Amino acid sequence: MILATIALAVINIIYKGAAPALLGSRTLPIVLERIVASFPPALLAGLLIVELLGFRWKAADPSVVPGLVAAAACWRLRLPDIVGVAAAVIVTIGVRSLLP
Amino acid sequence: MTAAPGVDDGVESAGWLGGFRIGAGMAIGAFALAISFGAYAVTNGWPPWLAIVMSTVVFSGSAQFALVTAMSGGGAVAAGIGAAALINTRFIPMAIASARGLRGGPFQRALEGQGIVDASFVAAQRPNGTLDREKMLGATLVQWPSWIAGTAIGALFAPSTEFMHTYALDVIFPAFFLVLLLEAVRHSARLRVIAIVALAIGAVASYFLPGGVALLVCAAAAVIGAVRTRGRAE
Repeated sequence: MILATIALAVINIIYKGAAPALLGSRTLPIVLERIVASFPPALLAGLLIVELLGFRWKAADPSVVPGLVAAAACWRLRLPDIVGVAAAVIVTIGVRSLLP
Repeated sequence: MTAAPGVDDGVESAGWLGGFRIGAGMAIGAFALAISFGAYAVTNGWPPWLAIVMSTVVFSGSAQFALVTAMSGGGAVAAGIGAAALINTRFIPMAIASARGLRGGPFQRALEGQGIVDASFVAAQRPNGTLDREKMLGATLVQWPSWIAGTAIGALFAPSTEFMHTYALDVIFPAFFLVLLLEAVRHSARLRVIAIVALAIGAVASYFLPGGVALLVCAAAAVIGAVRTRGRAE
């Protein structure tokens, strides 16, 4: 376990550090720049759906949907992100307390 | 409104302060997730101190969960490391993309590159595709201690899954990602399409692949979006 932890830490350091150290401030080709600019929505959507469904969709839980709707409503009202998250938690607690 | 990716919403949401602000929201989600990781690791036979050390030196939830999962029940160390390493390959394109925005010599750049984590990287993207270095590092600096503290609590006190479910701690991260996503695509139909494609890819991929790998596959939506844009431009 200790070996695995050390190995994973080293791999992670290389993944994150190699490109900045080697590339410096050189620019990327335009097509790569476009791809990079498209990463945020793609990764955010990925983070959202992967977190919601889980491997084999075992984490899928409809009781979180009302809470997420509440978070979206808060965003629509231009409330701070943290308020949206808090609303999601409160609504989800309420929904789950009503479920058998 | 807190800073969000893809939106130029003012100086106050940029830089170190913007990073700390947006990082605070992320830290809450990271804290809750870390509690579940700490509890999960201990349940699978990891000593609490090692789970805490792992969160300190690795700081990557998906890879850490993958490592513990792959090694549970007598799984091979190589398989665990391999799965976790594969999951974290998504940091390679992020590091390439971040390289130009970081400062200093090779060592300092490599050190600053350690501040690349999913949500911080995404939040620090400016609309023109460049990186807000201070915002990314600020957001990560807030999340890191939160991740370690959450792991410690989870490992030492091991709250039940039922507790996490009852108090809706499992909804924190999805809600936060949802809000960030909505803000990221707010002003761009093209980005909305990319997000929808990524959601579809992610839904299918997460059925067949572990979370981190499925996330990596979702990045394909970015490639598709970029190529289609290029095609129109030409």
